Amino acid sequence: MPKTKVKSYGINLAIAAVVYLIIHMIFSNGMVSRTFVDLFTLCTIFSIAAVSLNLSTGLLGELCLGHAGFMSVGAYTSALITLSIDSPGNTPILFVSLIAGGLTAALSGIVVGIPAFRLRGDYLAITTLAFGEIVKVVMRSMKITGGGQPLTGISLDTTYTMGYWVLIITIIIIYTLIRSSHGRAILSIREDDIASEACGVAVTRYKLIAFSLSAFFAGVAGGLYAHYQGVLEPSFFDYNQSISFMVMVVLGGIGSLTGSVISAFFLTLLPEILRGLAVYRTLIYSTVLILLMLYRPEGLLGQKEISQRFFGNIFRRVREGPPPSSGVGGSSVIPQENIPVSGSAERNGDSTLRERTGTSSGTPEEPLERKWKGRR
Amino acid sequence: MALLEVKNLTLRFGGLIAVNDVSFSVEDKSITGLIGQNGAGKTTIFNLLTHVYQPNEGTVILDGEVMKGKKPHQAVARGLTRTFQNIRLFRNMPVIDNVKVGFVYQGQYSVPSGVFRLPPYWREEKEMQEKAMELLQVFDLDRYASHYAGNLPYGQQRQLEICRALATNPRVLLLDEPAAGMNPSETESLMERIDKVRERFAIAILLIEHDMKLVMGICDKVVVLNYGCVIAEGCPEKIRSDEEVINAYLGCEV
Repeated sequence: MPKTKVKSYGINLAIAAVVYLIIHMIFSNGMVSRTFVDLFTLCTIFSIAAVSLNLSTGLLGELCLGHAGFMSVGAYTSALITLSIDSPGNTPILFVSLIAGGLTAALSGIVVGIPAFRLRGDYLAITTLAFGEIVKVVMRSMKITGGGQPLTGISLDTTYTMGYWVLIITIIIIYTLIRSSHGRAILSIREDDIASEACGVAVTRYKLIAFSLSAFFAGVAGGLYAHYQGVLEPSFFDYNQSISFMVMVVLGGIGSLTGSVISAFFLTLLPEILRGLAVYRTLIYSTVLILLMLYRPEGLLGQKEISQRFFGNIFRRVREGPPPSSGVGGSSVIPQENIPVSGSAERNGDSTLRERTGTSSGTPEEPLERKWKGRR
Repeated sequence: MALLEVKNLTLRFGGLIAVNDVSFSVEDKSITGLIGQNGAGKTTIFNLLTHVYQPNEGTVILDGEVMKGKKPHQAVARGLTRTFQNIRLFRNMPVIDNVKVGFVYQGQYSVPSGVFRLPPYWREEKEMQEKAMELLQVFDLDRYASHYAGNLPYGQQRQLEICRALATNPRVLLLDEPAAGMNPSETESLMERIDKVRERFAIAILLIEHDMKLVMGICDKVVVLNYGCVIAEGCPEKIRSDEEVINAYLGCEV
């Protein structure tokens, strides 16, 4: 069994590498504008944030509305480290600063999590919302973070290469975590925390693990953002930003990591594409969101992931079609695949995550009921 | 000495005494039935045994060790696992993963070796897979291993819950109305299965049940509760003829 699994890991990694090479070729040949390259980098940063939010919201099942707060902690930590060392273009130092940013964010996640996980559902959402606001005020009032002034002079070291690979690493780590025994514990908490505890799962411990890991990657995303933007303002990381990450998660499919990536790209690019339409931009943006939620309440990908297996399934249908090149970073919207419930988990021995909404999709059931379940 | 001893257990909710000075014992490898009217405090006793509630007075002793803890998962680690009256499966997880959740607390590979797929991961995942399949086979659920738990029919969901509880390697298995909502033939096969489980896993079983045929059929001992108090304790024959029990719960035979 391990052999087939290792093989599938290898294939997925190879796809990621091929996608990177294609992107790299397009970007380095000057086929697209500098703005577009920057936009791509921003997309990867937001994707990291959305994927990590998916861990705490989609997989652990705790509504977190303070994700931008963790990003802010990571961004300032990382920026202050590189500013104090003052070595623009030094990638190892940037990496260290990113990890330091992630760790401080994870630490703040634990500090928030210990008291907050006494609460459930909506209360936790309010608490994390408050955390985000507290971070904003703290960053505004501390001298070291600029004291009300924007923090400037951060070297612009974040490249699309870095954004892309950090995103891939984030996805890999969260994916492998979820498909391990610890991940099953985390998923069982989402399903039913009382039953989970009755099965011997140390619920608080696993909540903290998932939550702090989620905060860690948010912090890393923050660090990348700091070195992408060059200027840090506390007000950027306000609850609007947290909500927009939440929108990315819900739109991409709660529990689907690659879905979050796609929707993060989609939602970041959409306003840019619509820029020419001036005032109608936000109108169209919100209409698109409403329509998507009405007609696809489970999100773009539902609970599925885009992987080599996903394409393998399509292959089997299309018979020797050309391999679709968009791997993990691709932005193509894939039509829904109705994998039979029994087959999906059997095929590779690991489980396809499926949210409450998706449960019935394999069995022939009246579509009306499914729709209502999805709306919750 | 009995495997599980409950001594003078009392729980008050404000002015209401839910469990009043309850004492009984469960022998090793025996099946004990806990019966009584709705609201008599049966499930509350389960909640006390599994640390969902802390008793106001009294102690629970498992194999000579006084059970003290703050969290339900600590009770599981000591060997007390329960099922629920209303099925609580992880509905959107495959059947086999439901069972594997029961293995989580039993010392296993660390988070990093899980994330980075180090050798302990492969080794222990393989063990878990085998153990889980073995457990599923006991309940004839192995062919549904990759189905989503929520898609199983009702009767099998109940069986899966017992299966999941067994995965935690309990010494005393607490079953809360395992036959609720089952038809007579399903109840009968469940009876056989519970008996089989007791023998195969060599564990004690404490069960709450309203189905008298099941209780009288497989229990070695029955404890009768009424308004939070134990009114009778003994073998099924004795309980059946106990006047107080007949008045309070069983009712006169026509």
